[in-house]
Amino acid sequence: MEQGSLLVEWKKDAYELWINLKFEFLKIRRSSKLLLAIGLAAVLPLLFYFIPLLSGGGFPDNAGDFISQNMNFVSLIIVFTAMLLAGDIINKEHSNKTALILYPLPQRRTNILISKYVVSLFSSWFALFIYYLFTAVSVALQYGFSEIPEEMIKSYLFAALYLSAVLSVAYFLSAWLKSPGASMTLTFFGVMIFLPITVRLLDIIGIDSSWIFTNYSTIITSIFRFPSGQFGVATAITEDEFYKAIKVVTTSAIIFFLAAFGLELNKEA
Amino acid sequence: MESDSKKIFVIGLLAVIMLFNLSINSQVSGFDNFPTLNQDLTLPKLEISNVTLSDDLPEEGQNVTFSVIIVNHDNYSVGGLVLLATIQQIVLVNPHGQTEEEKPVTITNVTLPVIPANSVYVYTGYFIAKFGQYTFTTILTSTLVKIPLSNYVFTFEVLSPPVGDWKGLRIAYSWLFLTLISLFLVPSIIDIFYRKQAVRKIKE
Repeated sequence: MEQGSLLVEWKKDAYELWINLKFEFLKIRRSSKLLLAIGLAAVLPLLFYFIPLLSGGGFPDNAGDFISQNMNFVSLIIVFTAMLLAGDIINKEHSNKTALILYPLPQRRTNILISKYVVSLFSSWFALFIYYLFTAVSVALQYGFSEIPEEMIKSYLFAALYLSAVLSVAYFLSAWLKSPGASMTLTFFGVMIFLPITVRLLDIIGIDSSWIFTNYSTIITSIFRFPSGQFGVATAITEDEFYKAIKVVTTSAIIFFLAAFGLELNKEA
Repeated sequence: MESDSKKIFVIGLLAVIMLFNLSINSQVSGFDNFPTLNQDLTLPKLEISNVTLSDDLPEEGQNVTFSVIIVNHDNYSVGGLVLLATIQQIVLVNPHGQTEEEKPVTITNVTLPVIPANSVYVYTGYFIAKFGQYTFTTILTSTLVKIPLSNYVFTFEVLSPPVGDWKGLRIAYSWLFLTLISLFLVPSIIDIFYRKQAVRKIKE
């Protein structure tokens, strides 16, 4: 009887979640943000292909160098996409007063929050996929299809994981701050400037900063194994560092998501 | 008029005397017999035509064999040559935003055997590859004088070992989805628990 009622509850929740997912997807599709994120993800690799082609500047000798150089900008795409798709996803409901309609409805708030996160996560993964796809197409056009390395899939999967962490930060800030503009701005500057500065300051005073996930954005490029995409004295990453990166990035993604969840569940509509 | 011609004659005479003295003083005594070094030092006509690596894109830790192809364009054999090969890591920008120079590492500094006239000599050496972008430089010296055509420079890259296995990524994604699934499932369990407690209290 209990088991049966639990299954009934879950079934009801699943239906609610499905409706919310569809609703959130429609909202994000109608807004220009997704289009903007996808557009930027498509245009940037094409610029790297067409500018040397048209200017006669020349391409690197091998596909690996070309990819490594292009991938230097993937962090920017990640932060920009997370900022656009999740930077105001929660507080916008409060500032537009739509939370007053949404939250009193006979449905779980957890389902609303999960659907918001899932839709923004999958949309940003899709934008990132477009970036990788267009880079792969550029490689195929310039160096041949066989030159597309297997590492691209690994790099994409790590980049998508890193994106989840950045998205969770954006999600957390949108739950914590009241102003959508402030949370979006803080997402961008926080991940691009404040966290790297914190890492640097901690390094100066001799405190371990390896728990800050922004330390590991370079792994997206390092997976390609080429030194050309690196800054400074090139150092190869070890398997242990890779595992540590995965642990830190995944934990950050989960912690920031749960923190946002906790904040929003305790809020009044 | 007469005095003018006298003056001109005196000035002319003085000029001739001065010119004569000048021509005498500008001549160095024994000039023609003084030995001069007006001929360039003749260096052997040796050229490093190519340097090849056993692998174009070596991997870190790999033993890379390099071959230096030396061509002797002279009609006589050359001995006592020293081959120096160095690699220097290219640094783009260091973490502090400054460019810095890495010191070149000598991988070969050997005296070569006599290279016969009009022949090609191949020197083979090896080094252990370390991750990075490098400039490879070779130079031949004959009695400490660098032979210009032997300065051969090229860049190469050393790849890092393959990194990132699928297992770690699979685990990471599983944790992410498990968190989302548990957040979806847990509220119903809590609800039923509280409902059950409430029913028990009513019954009591």
